Amino acid sequence: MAESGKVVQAVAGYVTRALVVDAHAHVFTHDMPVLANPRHNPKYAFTPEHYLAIMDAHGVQFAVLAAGSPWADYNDYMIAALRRHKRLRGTVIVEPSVERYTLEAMARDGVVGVRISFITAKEIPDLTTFAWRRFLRRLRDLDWHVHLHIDGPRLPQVLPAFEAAGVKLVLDHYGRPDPDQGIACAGFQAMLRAIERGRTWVKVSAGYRLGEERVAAYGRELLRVVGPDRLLWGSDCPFVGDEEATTYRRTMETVDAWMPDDATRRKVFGENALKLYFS
Amino acid sequence: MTLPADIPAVDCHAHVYTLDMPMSGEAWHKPPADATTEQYLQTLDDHGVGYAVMAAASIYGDYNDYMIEATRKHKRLRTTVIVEPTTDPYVLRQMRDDGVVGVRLQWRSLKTTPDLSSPEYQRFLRRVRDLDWHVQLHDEGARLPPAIALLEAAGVKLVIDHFGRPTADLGTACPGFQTILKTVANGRTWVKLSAGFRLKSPQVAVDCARGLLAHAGPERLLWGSDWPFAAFESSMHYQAAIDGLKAWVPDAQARQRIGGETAFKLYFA
Repeated sequence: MAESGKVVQAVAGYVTRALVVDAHAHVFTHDMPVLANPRHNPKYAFTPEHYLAIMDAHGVQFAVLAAGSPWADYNDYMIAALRRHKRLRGTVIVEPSVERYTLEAMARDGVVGVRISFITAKEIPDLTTFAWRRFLRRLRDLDWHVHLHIDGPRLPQVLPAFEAAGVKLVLDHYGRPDPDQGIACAGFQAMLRAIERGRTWVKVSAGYRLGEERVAAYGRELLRVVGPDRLLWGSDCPFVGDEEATTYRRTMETVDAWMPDDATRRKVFGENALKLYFS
Repeated sequence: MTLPADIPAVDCHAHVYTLDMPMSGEAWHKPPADATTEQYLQTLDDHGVGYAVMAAASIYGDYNDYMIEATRKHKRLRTTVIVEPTTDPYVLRQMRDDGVVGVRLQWRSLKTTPDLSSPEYQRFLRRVRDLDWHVQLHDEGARLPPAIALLEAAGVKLVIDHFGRPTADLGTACPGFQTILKTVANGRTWVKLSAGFRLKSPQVAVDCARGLLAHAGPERLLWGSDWPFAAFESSMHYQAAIDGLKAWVPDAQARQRIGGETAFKLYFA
């Protein structure tokens, strides 16, 4: 318990005097169009204004909204939020055939990347087709990043195509290694190598989904092998599917628990994300 | 600005690309080196050519992005694009604002060509016409007549690449070439005196040019270098392309109109 108290204190002390950026949150309303068989289907609204109030209460200055898979390419509500609030950036879900002009208009509105979710995909599309290579090239031309959500074991099969395209890559949720294999998971190891090559980042987020003990081990291994410069803290607020059990503060504490010092905290909780998403 | 005498003011056919651009699966040619916008502008400057119109290259499919970046940056450049006929008209309008002046039908490497009479293409051609764009057609001379008939009926401006690519053994007797000679009378058709090195012999180019001058006159003819001379990279050079125009059009005044006024009116007005 004493240990936990110290962590809370560390987070509280940190956030009052430094830059904090939340690299992963969602906003939505209950009446937005939802895909057939969505992964989640929240029956409540979580508005940008509600989220900004939570950010303010926790000393978080900036944030990146992640496109949510239930609403597919209905990015409209999120983009409206980016237009209103310059503290926010976002990633969108789009078809690979999207026009360059559409992407450029989105960029002017604060979009910085494309979310690609293969987490529930039975089959991963062929990323070497002209349509996909053209798409990834356009993202690179715009200096956007690919925001990839995939289960760790399948990461090695898609990494080469993304790396060959020369586009920046941000992996969700510690790269989601197989829970039984942990840091030994081939996907986790492939992620470390990709980070070392310099164009890949990873979010240290959704610890409440993956298990706090587990993610502490993932986090320590990331710091040990690749250092702090490519790690981005994200809350995954409003914790869809786990709203009651998780708190915003807890998502900070979960990462703070394995931070060795304030210099690392500054990078993981703020500086890295500011550079990647806001510059 | 004083241009050296007898140098075309506008190069109406060239390509720019980098080797790391996404290539379409059907690419007929793999270039040996980058041909960047900067290299091309330098080549134009080295030869005193002031303006240029770039042609979309089929090997990069509809990745027109690099050329559009060039026309945004350099107001002395225009370009054509390759797009799907279903492309949203708002996208086409934005392209126009960025310096795009037409769409290229690069059919020469296609086994079967799209049906221009389909509702999809009819709508597309109408949009091209509404934008005051032109269709830039590149195909084997033998296959040109039906396409020309449909494009003429659609009321679009038409620019035919590379002398109409007459079938090697027929030269000016090629039915495609004969169709071109008849079509230029409609006032909406232009022919490029370009890429003579792709024809069967230099004499074929001279013969074609003579026929075109007689039927179309300099107000329907354009000159293009076809830089960087895809598949002829080592044997062809820019000065030879300029010299080509002199060989094809002996009259200096006619050359001046072909290299200047005609191209300006069509692409830069």
